[in-house]
Amino acid sequence: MSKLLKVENISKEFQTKNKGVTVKAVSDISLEVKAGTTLGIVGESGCGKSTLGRLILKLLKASAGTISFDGVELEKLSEKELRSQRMKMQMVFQDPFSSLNPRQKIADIIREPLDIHKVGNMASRKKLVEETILRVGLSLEALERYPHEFSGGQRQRICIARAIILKPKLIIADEPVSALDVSIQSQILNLLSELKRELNLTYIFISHNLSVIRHISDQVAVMYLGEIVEMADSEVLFKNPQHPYTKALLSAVPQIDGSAGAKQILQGDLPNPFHIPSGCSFHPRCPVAIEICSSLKPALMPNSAGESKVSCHLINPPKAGGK
Amino acid sequence: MSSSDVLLVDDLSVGFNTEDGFVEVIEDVSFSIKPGEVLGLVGESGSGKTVAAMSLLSLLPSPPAKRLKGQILLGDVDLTALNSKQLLNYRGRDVGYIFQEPMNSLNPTYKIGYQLMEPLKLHTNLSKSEIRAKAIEMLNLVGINEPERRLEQYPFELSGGIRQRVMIAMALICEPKLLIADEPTTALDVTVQAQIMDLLRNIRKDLKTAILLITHDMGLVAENCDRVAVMYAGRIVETGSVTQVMKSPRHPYTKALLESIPGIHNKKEVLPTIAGMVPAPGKRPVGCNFQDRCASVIEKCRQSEPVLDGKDHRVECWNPVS
Repeated sequence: MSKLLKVENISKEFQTKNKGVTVKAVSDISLEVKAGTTLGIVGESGCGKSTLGRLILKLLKASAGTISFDGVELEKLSEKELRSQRMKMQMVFQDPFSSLNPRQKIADIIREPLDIHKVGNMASRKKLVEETILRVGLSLEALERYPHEFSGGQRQRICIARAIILKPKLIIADEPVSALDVSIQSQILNLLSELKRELNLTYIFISHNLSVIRHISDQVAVMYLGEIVEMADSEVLFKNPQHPYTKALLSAVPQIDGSAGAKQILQGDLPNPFHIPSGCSFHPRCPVAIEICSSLKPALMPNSAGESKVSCHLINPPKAGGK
Repeated sequence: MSSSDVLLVDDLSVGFNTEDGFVEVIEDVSFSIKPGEVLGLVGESGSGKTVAAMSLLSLLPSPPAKRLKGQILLGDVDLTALNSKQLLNYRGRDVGYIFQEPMNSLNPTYKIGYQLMEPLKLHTNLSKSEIRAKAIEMLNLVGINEPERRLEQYPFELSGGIRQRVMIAMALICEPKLLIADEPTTALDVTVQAQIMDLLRNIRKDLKTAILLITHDMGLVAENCDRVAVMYAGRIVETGSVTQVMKSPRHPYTKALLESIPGIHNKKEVLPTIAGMVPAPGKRPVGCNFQDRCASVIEKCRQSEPVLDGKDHRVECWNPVS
């Protein structure tokens, strides 16, 4: 399978208002996504997962690094060229209550991407809007109504319709089911899976919910304080987590069948992103940290089995004398 | 009904006056909690969990809220017979309450210490220095470092996890018999959630506090509760021990809900779903509230309301899962 997206060494620093203090929201991330697969990005609040999603769509400008999408380097494009590339990459946001314009009818909301990109004529746009609303499991009557008349799950279906109407190749879904109840969550997850198969979509699925990530992803990247600490095929990562943070994260998720076993409770909170710890940024909370972890930053490298990429000195011991 | 119950709620119905007339939100809710027991009250948004919990201490503004019927016994005291002044003696002293939003439940203009010591000032005759010592002891108990310094801080200076610990310390400072924890970890990250739930487990063990844990997370219930009551559209539809309800659910809603949750250890290709939506209060159908979404609906479900039936493991269904 071909690579649809390649991100290399991307970083994003935000300047604060007072005296140019910078926060590293995303630091030096590289990843690849094959066409037709789903990459799950998981991490706790503030780890930079949403920032990474926005960087990939170029909704935010990266401080460093390159993104190539569908064989095109996005950096080198003009605004106009970028806009036409964006037809192929769409986004579904977390909050279906605030991501729809309350004054627009559903028909106008779903048609807007077609208007912006001047696809077809009025008649063909109308037809496509009708097909799309049916495809996401709503009825044609929905088109003449306003967002407030719909429940959270229905609104998320509308957001999905708006995202797929341009027949994109990549959809970045940022916590698309977090605001929904579990019985509705499963409906939306199933819809996303069906659409992926039918439209041959590629997803980047951002979530803090490990069970959801496990369900939907082929590959998973675990983020902590702006970095990827572990990346592997979903099956491998969930069966055989390597990084101590991944292990703690998995053990913290309550399971209905009691399969989680003994909890591994991490001490402390996420560090303040203004003061990222030296060495491995996880070392102050890590139950198995050794001396070197506080001074030398581990690199994201394949482990000995070659199944997972992990940034941890205990998994990939640093070479003697190496810096 | 057993006299050893910390809390006994019997046949409670609460509704609200709205522009469209009076709407009954929770109907015929009954449950009880024994000392040191953790009861999970679980359900999706709008199922009435929070309304049920807030009604216990008459925390809902009335009007528009109105209790239609029902008894709420805290030990031997019938809370429904008390006036608002008498209720103040029980709030914070016999019953502690942890609210859902650690970010919004602390007053931003007062220091942590002031807010934490307030229940002791109201409910005890302790001296100032004793109150301060107790506050520091509580912060230690909930695992907050440097408690003396924290007393002088404002809520905005604390992280979500620490704020929720302060809320727990405040709820427990008078050593209540009952702690009501309304989605205590929903706003927190999973690793912090694990810390807070561990803390609640220890508190229950050390102080023998009974806990009413309100949550939408079946996993939290499975790992932390002794018994569970499942709410749907304002009614308790199934109740029993956690093992009974989780391993062999009898209500079609409980069963479907459990199946629709993606697991972390096993992957299902297609998630089972529950079609449709929860009927809104005031638009609930005649008969069972779940009838339009139920896979095993029978004629009787559309005609008459089922009643909670059974001994330990009770289910409100005309055609329960066998």
